[in-house]
Amino acid sequence: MPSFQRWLGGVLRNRLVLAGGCILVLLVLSALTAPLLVKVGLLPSPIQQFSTGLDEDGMPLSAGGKFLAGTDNLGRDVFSRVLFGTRVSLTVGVAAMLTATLIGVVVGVVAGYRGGKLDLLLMRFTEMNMTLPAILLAVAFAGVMDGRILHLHPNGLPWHWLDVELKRGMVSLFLIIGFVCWPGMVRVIRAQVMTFKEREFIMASRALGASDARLICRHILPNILPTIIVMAVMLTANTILLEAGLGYLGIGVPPPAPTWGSMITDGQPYFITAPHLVIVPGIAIVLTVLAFNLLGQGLQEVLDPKRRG
Amino acid sequence: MSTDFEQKKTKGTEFMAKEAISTQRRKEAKAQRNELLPPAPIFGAPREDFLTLRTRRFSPRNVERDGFVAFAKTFASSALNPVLGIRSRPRRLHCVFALIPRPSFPSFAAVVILFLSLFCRAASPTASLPRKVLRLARPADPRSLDPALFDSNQDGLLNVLLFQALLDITNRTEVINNQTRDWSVSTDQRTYTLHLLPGLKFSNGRPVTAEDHVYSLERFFDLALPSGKGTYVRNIKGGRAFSEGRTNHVSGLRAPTQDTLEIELDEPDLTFKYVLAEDWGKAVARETLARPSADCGPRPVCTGPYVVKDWVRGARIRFEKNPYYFRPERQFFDEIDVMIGGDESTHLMMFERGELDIANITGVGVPVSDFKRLSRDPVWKDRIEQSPAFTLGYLCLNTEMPPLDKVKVRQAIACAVDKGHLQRLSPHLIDSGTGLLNPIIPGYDPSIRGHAHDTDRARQLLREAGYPSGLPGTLELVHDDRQHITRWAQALQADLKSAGIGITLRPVNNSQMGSITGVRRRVSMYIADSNGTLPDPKDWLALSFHSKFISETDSYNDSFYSNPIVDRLLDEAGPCADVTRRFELYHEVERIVLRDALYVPLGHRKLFALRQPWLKGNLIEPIWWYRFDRVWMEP
Repeated sequence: MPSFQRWLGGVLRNRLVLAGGCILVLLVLSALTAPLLVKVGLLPSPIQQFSTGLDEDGMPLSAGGKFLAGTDNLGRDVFSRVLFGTRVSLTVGVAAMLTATLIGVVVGVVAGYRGGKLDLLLMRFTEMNMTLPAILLAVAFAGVMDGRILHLHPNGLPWHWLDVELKRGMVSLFLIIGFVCWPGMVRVIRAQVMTFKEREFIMASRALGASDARLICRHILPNILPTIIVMAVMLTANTILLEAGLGYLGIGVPPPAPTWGSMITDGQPYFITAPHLVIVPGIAIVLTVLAFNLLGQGLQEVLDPKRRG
Repeated sequence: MSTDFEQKKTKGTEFMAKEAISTQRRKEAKAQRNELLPPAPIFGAPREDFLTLRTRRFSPRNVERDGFVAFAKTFASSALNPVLGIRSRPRRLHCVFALIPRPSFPSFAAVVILFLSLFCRAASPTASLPRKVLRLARPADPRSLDPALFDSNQDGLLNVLLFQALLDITNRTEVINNQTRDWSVSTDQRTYTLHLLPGLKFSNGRPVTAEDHVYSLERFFDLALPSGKGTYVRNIKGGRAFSEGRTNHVSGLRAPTQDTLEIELDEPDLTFKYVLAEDWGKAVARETLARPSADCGPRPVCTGPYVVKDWVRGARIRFEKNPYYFRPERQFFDEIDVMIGGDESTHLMMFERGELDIANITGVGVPVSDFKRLSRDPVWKDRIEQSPAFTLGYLCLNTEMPPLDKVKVRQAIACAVDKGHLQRLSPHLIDSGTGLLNPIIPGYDPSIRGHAHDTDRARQLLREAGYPSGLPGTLELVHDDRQHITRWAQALQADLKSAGIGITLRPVNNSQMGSITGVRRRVSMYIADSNGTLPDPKDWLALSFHSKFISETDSYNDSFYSNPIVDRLLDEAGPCADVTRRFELYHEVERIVLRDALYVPLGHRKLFALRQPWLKGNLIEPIWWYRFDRVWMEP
């Protein structure tokens, strides 16, 4: 416990962690409380189109008055949409990060621990995935999500519980992003595992009869956990950016659900006349990505003894 | 001797000494000159050297000494900087100049002479006048340039440049001659006789004959032709037998002489004159087609005022004058340059920078997002023109796809739609239209209205249809991705949600829209803002709601509605010569269709145009939208 307290103290003393953490806590709090604020009437619904939300020419209202950050092209409250967009971005970003981390850690550990031809095969596959730009791969995956039903059972058998409907939504989105973001993690994890598996304490455990699974779970993973945490936090910034990018391209979470990317797309034609439609969600994206990057960098400083000097 | 020798030796020594001094001076002078130019590692050159150069007066002597490049730099800075108001030039430019080898004075003189000769040539009386180029932009390539194959109104705007029809339609829906000398219709409204203008030629120089029109019309009966336009001419006698391969000629199409075209119909048709003023009245050169169902290709041989000069897909299409056009006085441009790519906002930005002559030709003329700004901008506000457009905005409901096969569900949707909401979104854009017929059409009756907006009644209708807690699941609403349509779709989504009807939006591009909405059981509902083809109720009602126009893949009846009463009324109205009775029948059909909520009318929108001040003439018209062949450029 004293060592954990010491570690926590170290984390909290780091300015980068503090800055990133504070922004992140604010974002998470606003995401969590947004529905409650709507319920008690402090915040307008993000999908409600107000007749007073447009001027006499049908144009969005600028910030101020009843609408804190103005309204969008349909008379909806921009501030409310940005807050609700936080829910989508954080949920998809974190879920995609977990998916990518899971895949990356499994592939990296197996490749690094087993070595040989399996390592060769897995690493070539990883490198092949790294050569494809993530956004293009994600667009290709998203293109498949057109509502068709995938029958995973043999024809003639009524196992319809195996049918999968390929449709756009938050689940399909974080899976897509997770599946295209894992390769970056594999190399680092593999290198760490290869280093640790040759260490004396691992060899001693093996000599005492520890199984591979025990070695990995009890000895290797806990030692590479700081690396995983730092990489995962940094990866979240990327997954959030990718989610916003897909939303911008119109293949993210379908409307009227508010997402930052789709808000920028909708506001783009109004950039000259109503710039707040692009600037407000843009600031939200920048803040969130900045928060995760600061947090990741701070954690790296705290958790990596070499960097700490 | 020795004295002489000594004297000579002394002179020789002096001479050599002088020579040595002279050589040394020349070397020093050369070294000094070389120092004025930047040393080999250019980017590290001191700034003072450039300043020295810039302040030096230029003269042939300096040119000889410093080289042409130094002269050019000095000349440029002394001549241009005061004009441009520039005090110093970017340093890197000097570095780039300095990399160029220095030519001698003779080569410099040659360059100056060449330069001057260019000016002399440009100023000579034989110099050509500036070319008149109309610059337009559109987001995507046209699907085809063939009049039988293109399928969107946007493509039609370009097609008019290449192909012109036999007849033309005025703004008052009157039919006039275009490529005909005269035309007539028999008293039973079944036989049309047209006489072509003398001297009509294709762009390859071959005369246009009535046989070409026979061939062009017969193409529409070829089942291999990937086009749905055959519906409009299926009334021509013998067409069915030709389609089925029982004859090799459509008996109702005749060319008794080179310039006489006779068309005989199965049934009297008051609207066939409009057909001949549209794509069906355009002749294609048969010798250029491998088979009748083939596409004319990217550079079709045509009869219009322009021909395709080149077409780089995804980049641009350029049109140039057709040398054989029968009205050369109406070819107002040397070239029409259509950029492909960008969206409405990009095109507007280009227009405001003066890079386009017309702001927008594929949307509504002025993007919704910029209308307010432009309408208050002192530069542009007086240049926005508007006209009613020959359009109908509507929500189409597919009667074959559950739960829309239940009339009460459709009526609930019609009641949930708030037209006032759409009006608020774009007040300048929509005219208050409540029926299906456009006010331009003869027989328009403003008293015919669809379901009024009433959310409570919509919920009640859903309950009666067996959905007490709203429709389960969501319905897919297909819409095209134009700005104003996307806004309409999002507004409808909110309206229907408040009545308990969940909607997911599916944006598609314009060409996709045309290809999927006519396919049976493919699209539940879609929003369209479509242009009418013929200015007659028959075109708007018969094609859309008569059951005989239902097909599996290319259905005109895109709500797939089948009602024997409506069919009978339409069959009676089509050939009816009594105009009053005819309109009464169509009004009855309109009332039934609105009652059964096949189409929910959203309004008739306006058309705008924003053009540069040097572009003159009648640009926008309700029926044809933009007529690029009727505008000219002021010199």
